[in-house]
Amino acid sequence: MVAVLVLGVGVMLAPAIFSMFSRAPMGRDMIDDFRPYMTAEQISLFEGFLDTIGAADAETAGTLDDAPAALETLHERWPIIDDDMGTMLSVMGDNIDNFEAVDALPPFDLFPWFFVAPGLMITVVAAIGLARDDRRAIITAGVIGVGLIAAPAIFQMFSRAPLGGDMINDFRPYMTTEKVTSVQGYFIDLGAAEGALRTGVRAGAESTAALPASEAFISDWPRIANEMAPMVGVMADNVDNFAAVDALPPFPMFPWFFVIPGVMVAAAAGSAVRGDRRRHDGDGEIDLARPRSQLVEEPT
Amino acid sequence: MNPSTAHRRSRLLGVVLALSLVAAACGSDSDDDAGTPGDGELVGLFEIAAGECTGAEVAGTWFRMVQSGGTVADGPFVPNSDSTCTDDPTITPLAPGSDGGLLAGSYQPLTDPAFDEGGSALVSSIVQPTTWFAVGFGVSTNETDAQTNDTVSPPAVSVDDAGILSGDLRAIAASWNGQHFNQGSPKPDGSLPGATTEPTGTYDAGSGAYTLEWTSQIEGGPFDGFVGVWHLEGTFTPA
Repeated sequence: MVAVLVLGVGVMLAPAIFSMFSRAPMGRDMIDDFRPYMTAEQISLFEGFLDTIGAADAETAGTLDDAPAALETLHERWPIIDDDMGTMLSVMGDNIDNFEAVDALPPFDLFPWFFVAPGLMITVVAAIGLARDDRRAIITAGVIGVGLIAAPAIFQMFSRAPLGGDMINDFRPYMTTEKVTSVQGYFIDLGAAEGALRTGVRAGAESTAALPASEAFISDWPRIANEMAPMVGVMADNVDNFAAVDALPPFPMFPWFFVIPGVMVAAAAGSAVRGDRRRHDGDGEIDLARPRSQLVEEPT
Repeated sequence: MNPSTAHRRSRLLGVVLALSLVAAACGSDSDDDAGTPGDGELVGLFEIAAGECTGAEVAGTWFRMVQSGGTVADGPFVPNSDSTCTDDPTITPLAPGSDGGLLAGSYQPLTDPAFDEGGSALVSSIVQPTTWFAVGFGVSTNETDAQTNDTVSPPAVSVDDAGILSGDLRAIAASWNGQHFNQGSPKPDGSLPGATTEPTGTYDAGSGAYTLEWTSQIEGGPFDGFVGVWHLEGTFTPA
């Protein structure tokens, strides 16, 4: 029973050891913030924006006399921007299922309590068992241990947690201050180029019929900015949240944080019960309510 | 009353007094944060002179933004293709709004709704909505900061004997493209993060002419780390 008590305390303290109380809510915030963007429709929308801008760039590259500096900058940087943003959107698209799997898990901020609650119960039950020498406490602890073993299966953690791990690995290169600064810079380049097209090229042109892709870029820019700016904001606002989640133990290990202590508690409880069985009372029946100290050793 | 009861009551009285002093001290701090009017405070309208560029020279009131990682001294600055300053489009001139400028001592809040369908800000009391990256931005001062949701004091500006201005402009916000960015100094929590600098400027009591400048680093959102550089000038009219 002492072993069960120690395991209970260990399970109860695990969230504090892994700083889950501070990190898990940050994970919840990140999931909440990214949810609107982790859909096929939204990613397709952004990919369409890249197509629009790419077409405008192709249309104007090398074709304009005295092209504004902002357009020249876009021509130089567009291959990088297109590749980087396109890859990022592709990564997001590839992780929609992973995101949904993580999003379907119980809320992140509840995770620490999934350890604290059973850990506390095991500790209390084990303490009662030790104090009263009560076999019912041993059995109760064993049941809680089985519950811990079953919890990951109930919440489909074995399938969902590794998907979350994959998503974290895929997002890691993008959720840095440096990457956010780069994407902010892309936004400035695009906005400056649109402005140059609108206020420079179009304003000075006799006809814009020859620049349909540029017209489309100009026409779509307010919406592009309206959709893109908040996503850049979500990236910027979640760099710290991502780092907190990334600092948690690897996602695929999470189910085992339940199973392993559950098995240990159940095994310890089972061992204690077996020990009691060997010391059952004289009529051969186990009296669960009877303190172990009152049991009569079975004659050998 | 026995001596021990009297002693306990005496100790209790002492504790209550001590707590009262602590509470009073905390209240005093809070008042400081709120920018309580004091000696030299200028309460009224900081009427702004419209910004205007002549070649590379800029006069009047203007705004520019430093890109993340840059410096206020050397940039890089965000070029605004919609700026009328063709020689230096990183400078965006501002024109006075319906109130004529910035009110010290009271708020000039956002409209409801704050934006039109295209994401342009509708508030026009301090400055006229100004196009930036094809979308209009507006400036407001709000009791509840629209970005942080913190409660903030109205703008407070003071002048010392030498005519140097200082102040608390934490309520100032820029709104653009459906989003709000605190552009005050200090920030709503009283901090001066990154390149944020306290308001400073000059004031001529005889003519009312003033200049007021500050920088405010954006905290969070799509322009996290960018720094707004604000230059107001014009004439102060007491309330």
